Amino acid sequence: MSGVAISGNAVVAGRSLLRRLSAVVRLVPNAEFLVGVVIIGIWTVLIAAAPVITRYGPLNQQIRLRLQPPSAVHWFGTDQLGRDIFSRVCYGGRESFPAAIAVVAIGFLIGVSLGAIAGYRRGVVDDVVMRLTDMFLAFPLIVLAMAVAAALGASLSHGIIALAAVWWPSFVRVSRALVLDLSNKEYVVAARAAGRRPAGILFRVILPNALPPLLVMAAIDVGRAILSFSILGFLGLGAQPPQPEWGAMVSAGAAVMDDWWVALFPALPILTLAFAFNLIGDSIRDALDPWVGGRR
Amino acid sequence: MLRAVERGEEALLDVRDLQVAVGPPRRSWLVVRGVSLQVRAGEIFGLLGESGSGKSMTVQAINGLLPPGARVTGGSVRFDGEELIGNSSRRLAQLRGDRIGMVFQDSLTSLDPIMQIGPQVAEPLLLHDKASRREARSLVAERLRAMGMADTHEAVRRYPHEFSGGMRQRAAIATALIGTPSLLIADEPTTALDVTVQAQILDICRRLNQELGAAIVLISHDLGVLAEICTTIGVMYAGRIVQTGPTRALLEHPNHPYTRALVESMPRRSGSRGVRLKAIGGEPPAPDALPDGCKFHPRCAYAIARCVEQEPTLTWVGETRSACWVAQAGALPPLAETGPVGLTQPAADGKPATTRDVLLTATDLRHYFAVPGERLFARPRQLRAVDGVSVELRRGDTLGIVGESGCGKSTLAKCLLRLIDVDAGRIEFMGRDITRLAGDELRRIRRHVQPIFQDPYASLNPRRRITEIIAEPLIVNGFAADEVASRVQQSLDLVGLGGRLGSRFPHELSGGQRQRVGIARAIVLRPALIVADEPISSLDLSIQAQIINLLRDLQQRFDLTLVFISHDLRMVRQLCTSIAVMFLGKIVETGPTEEVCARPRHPYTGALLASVPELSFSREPRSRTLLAGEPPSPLSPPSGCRFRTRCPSCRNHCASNEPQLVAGADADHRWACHFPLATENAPIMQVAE
Repeated sequence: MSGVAISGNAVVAGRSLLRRLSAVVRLVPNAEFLVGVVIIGIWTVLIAAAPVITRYGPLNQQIRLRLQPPSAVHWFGTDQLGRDIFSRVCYGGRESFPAAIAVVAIGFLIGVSLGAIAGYRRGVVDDVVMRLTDMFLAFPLIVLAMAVAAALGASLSHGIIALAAVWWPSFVRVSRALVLDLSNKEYVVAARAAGRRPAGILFRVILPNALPPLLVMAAIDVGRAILSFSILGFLGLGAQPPQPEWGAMVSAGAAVMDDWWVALFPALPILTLAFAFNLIGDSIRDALDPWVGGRR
Repeated sequence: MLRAVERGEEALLDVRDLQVAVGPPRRSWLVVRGVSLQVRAGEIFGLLGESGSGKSMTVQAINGLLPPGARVTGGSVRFDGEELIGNSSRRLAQLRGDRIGMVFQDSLTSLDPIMQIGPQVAEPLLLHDKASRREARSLVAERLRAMGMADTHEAVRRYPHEFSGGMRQRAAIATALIGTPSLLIADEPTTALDVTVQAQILDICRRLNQELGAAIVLISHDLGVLAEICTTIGVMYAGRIVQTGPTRALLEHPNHPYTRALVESMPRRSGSRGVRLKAIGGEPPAPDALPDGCKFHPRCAYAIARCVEQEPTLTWVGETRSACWVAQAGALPPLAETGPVGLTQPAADGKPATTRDVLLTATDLRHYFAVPGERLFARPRQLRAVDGVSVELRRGDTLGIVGESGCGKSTLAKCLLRLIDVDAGRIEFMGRDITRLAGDELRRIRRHVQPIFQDPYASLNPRRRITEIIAEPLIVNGFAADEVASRVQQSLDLVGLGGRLGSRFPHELSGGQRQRVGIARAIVLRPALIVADEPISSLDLSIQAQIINLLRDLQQRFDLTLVFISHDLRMVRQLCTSIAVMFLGKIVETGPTEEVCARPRHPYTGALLASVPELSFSREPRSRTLLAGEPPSPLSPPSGCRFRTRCPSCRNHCASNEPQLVAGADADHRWACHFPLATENAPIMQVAE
């Protein structure tokens, strides 16, 4: 009895979130999940330890050694300016990876708050939020992001703003639907009858129950955000040269297709990370969804 | 020459030692553990059991319709002399729909939603090439008429969703009977229906059994339903039949402690209010964790040492066969005459009602829902869910609100709880007008009036531990941490959930335990008023009696005022001092429980009482006035008296004048009827001719 947290609200909330996450991880000991975690783990180590494991600076030009194929010295070869591609890929992740997570995090916060309020308040608030969301959803995401990025001027931070500005609508749709559904649950009515305030009901009762599917969606979205960010980079609307960025590097490599390593190795993290986040999202969803889980 | 089955020498359906296992192959467990039963031609066999007892699995195995993951691991099923277990699926398909008809519980999912009723009912005939389309059409019309559908021309063109639950179930039974099968298997066919409709369907089953001669296997969790129409009953517990025999012998001599407990926990017409129901303690065991020996011994009051060691088999004890060591040794004491025993204090220390203070007065409450029009651009229509209801509650009152689905009883509960706004009328609570309270003022009132919900699965937050759930009202209302902890523990003890259950999550608890948590949450603030909306209807029979007893104990201990909403008159009669009967948004009769039940004045109350399945000890079916038809739509209630379209004593006057509640000699007993039932001639008092 004494071990149960009813001493304070913050303690309860903190512990229950931890418990929930650990429960999710324990639920999914399957291969898909592990493969995803390993891939993300490898890239995270490479990116974090870039200064330690690379022998050349990402901006270091050795014009004599331009367009060298992969070798024991230059593991991923060199590019048109003789820069070590392995270093540039590792350092490039320091831009793309956090940027992608930032895009999803900002989109998640904006989208889930708007969606939750719309779904809970209903009425005029709901109408306004949802029509605005529909307007954004009517455009292809990347075209809208390009427009925003082009208007703000090409740079890394503008790329993040551009993507975040178009990322939130899908979270609005999903979170609103979840909140609408959960609002009718009897335990939510019970919380009202207990005398909880509307904000307390929304944030302490409804949202914790809506969180798991939203987190799954966010996990899959990180992969998509890395892709989208690379597209902006490829189009020259993200990080600017000489800063290494995966999409921009692929774009540069596309000019020298005969020297395949220049485009391929920067594409590798984009592909594998997008893949890994999808694997993780899918396996968590399967574990949470009794129907899919039951059929396996 | 008649065959052996037809001469009645051999059973039509002969199940021997049937075993069904579920789960993965290496770690499977038996859910049906050697069931044997014989059904003779023309017999109605009732299979009784709580959820998880294996009753549905048994008939699904008979039919070859086991769900994936379940398989027959032993035994034999002979139908009309032919072995069904291991028979080809083609042969089984031939038998199903032709010689064996099947009716399921939920007619909304068992009927094809995109197929009209006519073709759907005719399908078994056409599948088995038993009739031409023209013959099929006339037979469908005939069957539907036999089901009590008046306009069959209209009915055959309808889709299932256009029918009410009762009409759908009629169509489903018509489909099962269209090929004139010799066996009809009905799995909880009336569980989803209102009592008046349930009585009609049971009546139809009995009539069809006589007219068509089809044997019926009827599965139910409700002993009352089976006692109404079955000739033989088999009681299942934990995958086995524990007692079986002719209905009357079984009810008079329940020679198995489980059967006995079920018989005793059924509220009787004679049993008076304020009396504890004799409930079975504990809960049915999980099929994958059965105890040793007799599976009932942990809950059995008569268990001896042998019961723990060895599982008894069915042996003749008197006129029935019972699987009980104690009964077989003749050591089971005779059934107590009075049924429920142990008088408790009458409510509110017997103080006359008028001297207690008024806690809540609701005057002329109305709540309307807007329903979208049927056609595009049509104006939304008004559904008058609660249409002018007045209620007065004094401290310590227990008011039962009874009515069929759609009568507005749940909406009334939400209005009283102020969970939805009332459109008109006035609610005074603890001397204060709370009709229009909002915000903080409303929240301050909430701690004095708490709900108990119907669904113990949906009403507990799945992501919180039991103690957190019970603590929520306290924390929200600003109680100090140590006070919260002690009150939570006290509430858990009060509802009988001590020990370590507090740190569990709701999904780790059984339905009965969850409902106890719901009750603990409701009483933790020590409210003045509790509104319980169908708190027992989703629970097993043996658990229902436990919860009713718990509610009564708490009500008396804390002098709670309780509004108990239910469709089950039996339970309301057990628990409540007064009753209000609702029909289409209005109270049609209200008064002290004994008075209303013994001398109902409104024809609807009379019909409700007559529809309640009862344990009858007479061989004759009791004669009773069954209501025709189903409740009219609340979207377009009939003019004048709303009940007149179903009323046996309706006259012209009723169509134009709406009756008001009028009081009789006893001012508390009031009814809204122009031509009330005569007091001496109440239908429930009628004896079979």
